[in-house]
Amino acid sequence: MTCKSLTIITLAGVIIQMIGLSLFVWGFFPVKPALTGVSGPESYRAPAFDSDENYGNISLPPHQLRSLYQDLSGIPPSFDRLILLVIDGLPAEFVLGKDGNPPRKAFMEAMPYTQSLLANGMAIGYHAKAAPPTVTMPRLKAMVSGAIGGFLDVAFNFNTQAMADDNLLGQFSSIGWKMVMHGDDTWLKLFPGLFTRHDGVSSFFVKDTIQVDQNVSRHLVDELSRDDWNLLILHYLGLDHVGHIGGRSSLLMAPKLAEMDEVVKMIHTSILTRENDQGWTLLVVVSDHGMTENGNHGGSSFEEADSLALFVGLRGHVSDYKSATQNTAQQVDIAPTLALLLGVPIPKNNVGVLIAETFDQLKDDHQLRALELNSWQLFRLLDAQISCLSCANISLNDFSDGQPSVTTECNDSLEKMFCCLYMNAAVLHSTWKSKKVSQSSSWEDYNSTVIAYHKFLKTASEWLSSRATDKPVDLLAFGVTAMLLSCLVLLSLTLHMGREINLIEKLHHYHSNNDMQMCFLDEIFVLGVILILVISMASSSMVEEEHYIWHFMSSTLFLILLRKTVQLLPAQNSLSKGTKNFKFQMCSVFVLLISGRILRGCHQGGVNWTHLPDISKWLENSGGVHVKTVQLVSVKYQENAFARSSYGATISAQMIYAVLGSTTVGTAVLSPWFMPIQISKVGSSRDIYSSISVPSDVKDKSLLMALKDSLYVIGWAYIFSWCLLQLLLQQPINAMPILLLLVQILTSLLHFSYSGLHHKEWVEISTLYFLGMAGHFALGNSNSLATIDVAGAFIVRGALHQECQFRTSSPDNAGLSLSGSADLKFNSIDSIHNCIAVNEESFICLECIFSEYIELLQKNQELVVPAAFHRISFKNMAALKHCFLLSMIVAFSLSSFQMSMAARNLLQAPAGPLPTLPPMPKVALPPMPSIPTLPQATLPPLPTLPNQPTLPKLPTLPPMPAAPKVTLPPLPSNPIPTTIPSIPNIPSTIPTIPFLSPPPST
Amino acid sequence: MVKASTTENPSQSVSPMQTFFIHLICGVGLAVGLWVAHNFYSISLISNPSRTLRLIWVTMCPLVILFYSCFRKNPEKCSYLKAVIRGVLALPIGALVNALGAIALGAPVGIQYFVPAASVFGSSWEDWRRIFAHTKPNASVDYMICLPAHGAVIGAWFGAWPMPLDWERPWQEWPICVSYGAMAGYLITMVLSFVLVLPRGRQQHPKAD
Repeated sequence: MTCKSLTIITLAGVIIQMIGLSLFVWGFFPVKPALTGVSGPESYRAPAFDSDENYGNISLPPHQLRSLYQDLSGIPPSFDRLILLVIDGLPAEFVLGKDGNPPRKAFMEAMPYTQSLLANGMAIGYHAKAAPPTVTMPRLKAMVSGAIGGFLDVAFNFNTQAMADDNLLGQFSSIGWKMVMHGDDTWLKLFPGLFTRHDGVSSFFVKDTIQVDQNVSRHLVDELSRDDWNLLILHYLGLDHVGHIGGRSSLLMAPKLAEMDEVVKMIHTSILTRENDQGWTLLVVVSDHGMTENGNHGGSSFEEADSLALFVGLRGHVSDYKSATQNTAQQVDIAPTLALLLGVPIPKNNVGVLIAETFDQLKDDHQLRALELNSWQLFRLLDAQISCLSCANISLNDFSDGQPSVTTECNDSLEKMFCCLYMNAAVLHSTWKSKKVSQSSSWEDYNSTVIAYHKFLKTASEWLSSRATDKPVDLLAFGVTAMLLSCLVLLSLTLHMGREINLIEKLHHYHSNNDMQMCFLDEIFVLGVILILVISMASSSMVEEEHYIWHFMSSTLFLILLRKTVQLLPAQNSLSKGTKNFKFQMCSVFVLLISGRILRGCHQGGVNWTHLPDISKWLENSGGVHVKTVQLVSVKYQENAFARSSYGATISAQMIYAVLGSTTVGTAVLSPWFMPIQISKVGSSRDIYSSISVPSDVKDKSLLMALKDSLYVIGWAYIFSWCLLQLLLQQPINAMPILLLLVQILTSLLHFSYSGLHHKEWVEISTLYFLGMAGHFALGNSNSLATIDVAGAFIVRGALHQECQFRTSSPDNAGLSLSGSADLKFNSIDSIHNCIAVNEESFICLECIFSEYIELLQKNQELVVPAAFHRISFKNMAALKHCFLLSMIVAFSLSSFQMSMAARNLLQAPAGPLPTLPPMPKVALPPMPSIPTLPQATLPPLPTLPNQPTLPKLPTLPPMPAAPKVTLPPLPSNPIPTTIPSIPNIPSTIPTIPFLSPPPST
Repeated sequence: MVKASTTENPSQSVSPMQTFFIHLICGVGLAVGLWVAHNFYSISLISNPSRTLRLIWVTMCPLVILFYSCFRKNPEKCSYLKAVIRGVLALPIGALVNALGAIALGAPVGIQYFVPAASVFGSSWEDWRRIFAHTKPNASVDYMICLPAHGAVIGAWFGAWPMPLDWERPWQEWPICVSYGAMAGYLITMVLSFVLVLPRGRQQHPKAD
């Protein structure tokens, strides 16, 4: 196979792979089209008339719009104020119990007021099923817009962007509501500028469970006494933090629930006192998601998705305690319910269904009207999603004349079914209305109408929400096929090349059979590791504890390398030469083992054994002094250079990297041009004989080697600057692991380069890959969303360095005030947030987030394709961090090996893999001293020189015979100086001999 | 001396019966250790791993040292007592190697690995290298030592795999499943080495005659 076709096929394989991967990702994280625009007055019209008359009057002043809505809706708004109490991470089970059983006794006792509200029928609670991903921001979006976002929303959880879709808060603000928010600053990012007063707290300081909530509660008395707001959002993060620290059964859980109960009590009593004179206030207690037994969330298990929706202050009383606690709903149902209760249009993309029991207080026709409005909204959404959904052919007249059959079986095609269900309900409603006018309406009619509406709503909602999360299977299949295809292409290519190499080796008897057998174990192991990884991905706990696998694998590989080194120990007869080399190799393996062991001890990752002691915890506990010493030992220059000024620090870091980068690029571009010159100098002097002894492609090879040399240098520069960057970005505790990683990489590379050709290249690369993966976990990362080091972005800020350290070290020095939002510190936090938004340094975290996705997905078991394949293909993406490293290493190791190969080819001798060029002059030098003796011998037979084969090329020869007598007299005076200039020409014949000689010498 | 020992033929050829006998004794020793632990001290590997392991160790060590010392290399130069002493000396060294492996991998490696080899080979670096690095057993003694040792290591390695699983069984604790793995690997490879020694023994017997 020619080089050209090889390149083309390889490129094609890689490109197919990339296309397949992107198709797969595209299909796996579908971005669903959402309806743009905001629901206005038209939402109070039946969808059929939509196109005809468009109210262009959204620009009405708020109070007019409010009255317009009231007129159009026909439902008197039940409430004029809403308090939305969000308790982050509270599972509904804690309040409502599960499967008909009351909640745990400790939790019942911790929330006496809420339980009494439920028991008295003052409140009605729901298990509101949250859709995955159960992370705060997507859940908040779902609650206020009623839409189910794509899975990709997790990525935006850290880089929250303002919400553009139609939502409740936007609707409220359009009718002139004043809004106040205290709590999680996610709200502020979602709705910037919407709140008249706000106090955001950050959710990143997971270890703080007290101050985050105090910072919300301290505003409570003031806000409840005020009368200038219509919507008060309180978002308590403490409970989620308690879960993250200690899980569901944490000791802190009951006190935290008691605190929340106090808040509910306080709000409810204030509502009751206010109710007497002006307006009605609705208190809705919701949680965005639940938590697993360990306190994590993100997946779709019942524990995580079991969020709470508790309506307090509805005027209709629920007498039955059981019915007040047994209900289930969807989390998206909150949005239409609140919209209808508060008299605003339902947001456009809502897929939820109003919660029927909350409307019990209304009159019959109002309830039906609410159902109708919700149906219209859902019908519009269906209309947008199904292109050919037209109910024109089923005209209203078909039904209106006769008795519309309630029992009409609506199981045609999808579109017809929706149409049929909707029409059914609409017709029943209209007949009910007409009958009501004639005072002949019966309870039965009403009931059947409600049932028909609910049937339509339920079907439509289910279909819409399933559509929001389903994956285009064909796209996925196509992506997987493309990846498989490229795998096949590359595999066959590898096989082909392997066969060719085998042929060559057979021709040259390159390896003795002995060698081949010896090299087996590590190769088998590396191949086996792939298999083991694939198998282990099938087990969830293996995924959770993946770091153990990687540490185990890498240290096993090191042990195998150790064994191999012993194997390769030269036999005793040639001991003298190899021992030093051998010792070095042994040492390097031991260094690898030791540093690997320390790295393993750095962080106890995973799920089950995180509580075990490790080095990072020890450092945290022992305070900043130790951390600093470790940092100093680890060549920490951030301390010295960047600790002073915050902004200047970034600038200087950027400058350093700019300089580094430009020099590297400069070297890359220039060195191939510089180095050949040196070589060609040497080469030109050898021109004459190069055609005889050396293959003609020496020059090409020397160019190539020069390029490789420069790559080598660049590789080193790259490694070091990468490590420095990591040092800057990582937590101070991670300084030591980074140093160890660097040491590991260096030693392994040195080890391989010393051991020569005994290792296959791919074994080496996979070793480095193992190193990288083990290092990834050693830096405290794991396959759980909770371990993403969001604080990494802060570390660069020199000014914040101290604050960031407080978090890890000492809780006593007023550290807590930072995590909350005590006013003074809040500003600084805010400014950091802004800085990050500007510099987008948090993007560094994005790759980690992607890797976490995979885990989430696997937990959800939503995978259509075999998990293993998916895993393999994504693992590469997941470890973007190491991809950089890996690509560099690949180039690096390949270059060094190609170099030694080239050298080997040139010399045709199995000697040291050192570059061939340096030895050449040295070989040429020894003859030099012997030459001075030559002139004395050659002087008499000068005329005989023309006979020598090399001389005809010499331009100096013609004058020589012309004046032999003239030159003779000066010769005795200084024979040596005059002859020396001519020597460089003469030795050209001699070097051919040394060049041939090395093979026999070795 | 080292050279001599490798070049001359194994002076002590081991018959299959002997192999069988020794393996049987080792296996029985292991079983007896477990049995004693279970019945007399009413402890098992799960409830009290360290004590049980110690007990097994105590029963196994003398057996292994005494029997394997019979097959020492060049017996004319090296008395039985010397071989025994060598085996005893190898214990702490073996423990050290064991500990190194345990620290590096987080998984211990069976004790059966080291001692018999020390008894037989002594300080012959060449033999050590041949057995453990190249895995090239020649004589039947080599088979007897090499295979069970490797089996124990590999068994321990595989025994470490269930540890991170979340079945929450008591035997998933650290030394237990690894020890079980090592024992299983040891026993299996003992049988295997016996099977491999059989044909060799048949070959050697006619020669001896």
